[in-house]
Amino acid sequence: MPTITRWMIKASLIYFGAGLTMGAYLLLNKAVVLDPGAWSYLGYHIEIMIFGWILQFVMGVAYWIMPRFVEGPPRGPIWHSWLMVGFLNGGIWLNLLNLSFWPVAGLELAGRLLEVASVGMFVFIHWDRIYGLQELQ
Amino acid sequence: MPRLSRFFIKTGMIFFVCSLLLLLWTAVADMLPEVGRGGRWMPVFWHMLMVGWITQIIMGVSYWMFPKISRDNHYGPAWVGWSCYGLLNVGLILRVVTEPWLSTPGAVQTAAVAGSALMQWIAGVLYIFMAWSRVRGRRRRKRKKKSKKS
Repeated sequence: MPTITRWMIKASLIYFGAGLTMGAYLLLNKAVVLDPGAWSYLGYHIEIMIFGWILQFVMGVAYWIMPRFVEGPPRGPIWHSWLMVGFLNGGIWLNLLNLSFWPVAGLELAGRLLEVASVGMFVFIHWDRIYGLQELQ
Repeated sequence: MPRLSRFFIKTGMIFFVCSLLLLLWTAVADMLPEVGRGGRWMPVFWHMLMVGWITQIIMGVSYWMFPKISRDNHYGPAWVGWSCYGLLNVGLILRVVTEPWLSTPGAVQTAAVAGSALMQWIAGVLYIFMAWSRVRGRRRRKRKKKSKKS
């Protein structure tokens, strides 16, 4: 398992733990109102579970499993991959900051832009790695 | 493919179909005022899709494909995996059958939803525990081999 994948999967497991705890707390509050302000966590729960957990896990596993290049670095230049990870996590954190104590105008837009850039990098990195055996021969 | 992965993936597929049928039902319910609001089913729909289908597929495939712990012990303690599977699915089913009726006061619904939250949380923690130790690179495995030789 390459380093990038290990970082992405372990980060996604941490996000999963955080998002899961928030989700359980929200559901518990639906049954018994412990904290009337609990619903303010819904935005964090959605952002963390979709982008931090599912998207990051899937991207990390795809980076590991897709066919490698025969020549040169097996998964392309490493800095491309680190940029992809940085953009995704930077985007998530900007969006979380926007939801919390620091709602600055344009922060959500910047966060979403970073997430789009990360997905763009993901497609760019993997596009040429999607090939069949016939193309090698 | 290990048995637990087959269970995770097949149960995930059942949730996938059920979630889309539920979405269809919400569209029908919205057209028939006597049936009631379709919107109250939406949290259940999203959780059947994201937990029942996507998260369960992730769990099943990673249990199968992640690097094995060792030659003798591929996946770690079996009870952890089966407890994760059982708690996740029982918790989610409890949520599906009780959450839409939470507006009707009742101790049973309240206890079931609270139990569902707890079960799904424990299932998630068990999965994190199970997956964490299997996320590793080739170098560590080589070191282990070397240390076995010495």
